[in-house]
Amino acid sequence: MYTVLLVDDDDADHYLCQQIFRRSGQEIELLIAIDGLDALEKIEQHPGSIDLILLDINMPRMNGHEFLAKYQERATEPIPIVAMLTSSDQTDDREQALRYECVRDYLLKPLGKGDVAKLVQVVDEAKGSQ
Amino acid sequence: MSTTTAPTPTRQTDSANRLPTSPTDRAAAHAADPRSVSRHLTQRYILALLCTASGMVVAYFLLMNQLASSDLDAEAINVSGRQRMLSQRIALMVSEIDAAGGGATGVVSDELAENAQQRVPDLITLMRNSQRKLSQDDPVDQKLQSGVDLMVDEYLSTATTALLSDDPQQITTARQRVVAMASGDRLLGGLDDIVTAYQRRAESRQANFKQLEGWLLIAGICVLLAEVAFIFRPMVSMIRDNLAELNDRNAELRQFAYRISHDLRAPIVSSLGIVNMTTDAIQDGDVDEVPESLSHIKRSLTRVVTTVTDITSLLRSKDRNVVRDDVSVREIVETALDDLRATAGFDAIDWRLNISIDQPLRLAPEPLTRSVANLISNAIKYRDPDAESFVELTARLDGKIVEIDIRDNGLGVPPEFRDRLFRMFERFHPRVAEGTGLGLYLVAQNATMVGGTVQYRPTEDGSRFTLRFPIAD
Repeated sequence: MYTVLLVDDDDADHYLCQQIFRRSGQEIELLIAIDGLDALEKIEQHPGSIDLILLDINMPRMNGHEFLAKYQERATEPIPIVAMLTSSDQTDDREQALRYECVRDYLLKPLGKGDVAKLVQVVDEAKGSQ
Repeated sequence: MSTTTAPTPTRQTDSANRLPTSPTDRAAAHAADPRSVSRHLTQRYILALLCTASGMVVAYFLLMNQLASSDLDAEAINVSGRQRMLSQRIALMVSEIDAAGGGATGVVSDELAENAQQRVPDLITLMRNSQRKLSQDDPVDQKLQSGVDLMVDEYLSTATTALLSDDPQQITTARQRVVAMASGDRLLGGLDDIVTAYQRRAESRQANFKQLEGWLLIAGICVLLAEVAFIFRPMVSMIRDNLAELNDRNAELRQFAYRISHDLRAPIVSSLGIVNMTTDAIQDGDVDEVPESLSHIKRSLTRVVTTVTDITSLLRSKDRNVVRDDVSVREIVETALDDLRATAGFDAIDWRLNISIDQPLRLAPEPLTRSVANLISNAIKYRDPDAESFVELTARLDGKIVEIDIRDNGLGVPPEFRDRLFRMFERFHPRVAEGTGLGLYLVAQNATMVGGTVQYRPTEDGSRFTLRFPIAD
């Protein structure tokens, strides 16, 4: 059983992620935050129970980069993060996100069924290294 | 419950330059700026060239004047020195003639005496002309010159008599007198004094010229320093500021392109993902989610349309000239309200209208209508669901300004986001409503476009936006 925090302001992405996880056959609980600020609150509300953060970059109020900066300051046991990019053109976003140690990988939207295995692998590797 | 915040200092968008503007705005600004900058730079450059050229011209003429004076001084010294030499030469030749005529054979040859006889008249003429020239041109000391002129004149007359007189006795006397005058202190001393006077004048002029050169050097350095301070430094500063502004604008333009690309692509990418997922589900015989999938796809595509509409509106507002017309403010407000009547939540709001302007006013109706509609739409979207919502709209005249004040008891804007309120692509209540984040930016742009302002002030129970649009003459 995995718990994934999806940080994304788009309802359609919430729905897509939910359905992809449901149809993957993996036992994945999905928490949703609509931006970085909301994500920080959710992390505080669920201490120790989130296995992975799926982080969008472009969001209102606090975007993905701002979230990573804040999160890096606070986290003692960082949760592995996978950044989600809207397009492959976001080279700067990708490089900027991957500078953070907690960001293990990135994927291009839309989330597909093939991505679930990758996410599970990131979580397992993170757990194995602890 | 509405966000309750202590009032913060007023933020006003009349400082429109502080606001990030759109690429079209940038383009428009650049279309004006380079000409202005180029004109300023050219003016300053020409001014610098004129200052330098003026200095050079002044220095040139002063130098030429000094060179001419030096030439005159050199010539005067030369001529006055030659006068001294001529006085001695004439006397010597006269004595040679005298010696030959007196039968002193062996001392002076007849050939030499004959030569002297032939040359002395020329020497006399030369000395007379030279003396006249010295007297007329620029006598260094009038009194001295006059005295010497008389002596020279007497001396030359005597020499002429010694050569040309028919009376032998007169010739002998004249010859002796010539020799005596030439060897005496009076004539020679006078001619020496003239030479010395010209030399002193030349030295004095040279000293003055050196001093003048020194002043010219100081003046030149002062001019250069003034050019640096008042021309080149401002030029460099202007160029540096413009480069910095260009860099800022380029960065904003890149950011704008990035955001546009993202905001157009993201909903489409999400829709594609849902389509793929739903296709798989249908193939697996799982059709329960199809309606919801379609609903999400529809909303995503609607977002694309909204984004395109807002961007188009933004671009059009930049390209279009402001059209002014006689319009009724009451009609503008009522039209905006009618257009939004179908919006969810409209009926839940207590609308309080205080419009004290009834006469038509010459305004820019399109920007005003768009701004009013946008602010009313925000008041509906961001109403507080836990409060008895009201929107109080007051329109009044303040001299040549129409002021429309829209106050609500909605969700307000959290203090930490207020400085981003009028920027592009900013959204502060993502849970409540989806939007492009361009609405307030467009309001600010509309206001700026017609020379108006939009002001935001937090209230104890919500927000207050004030539009101030100028009335055209």
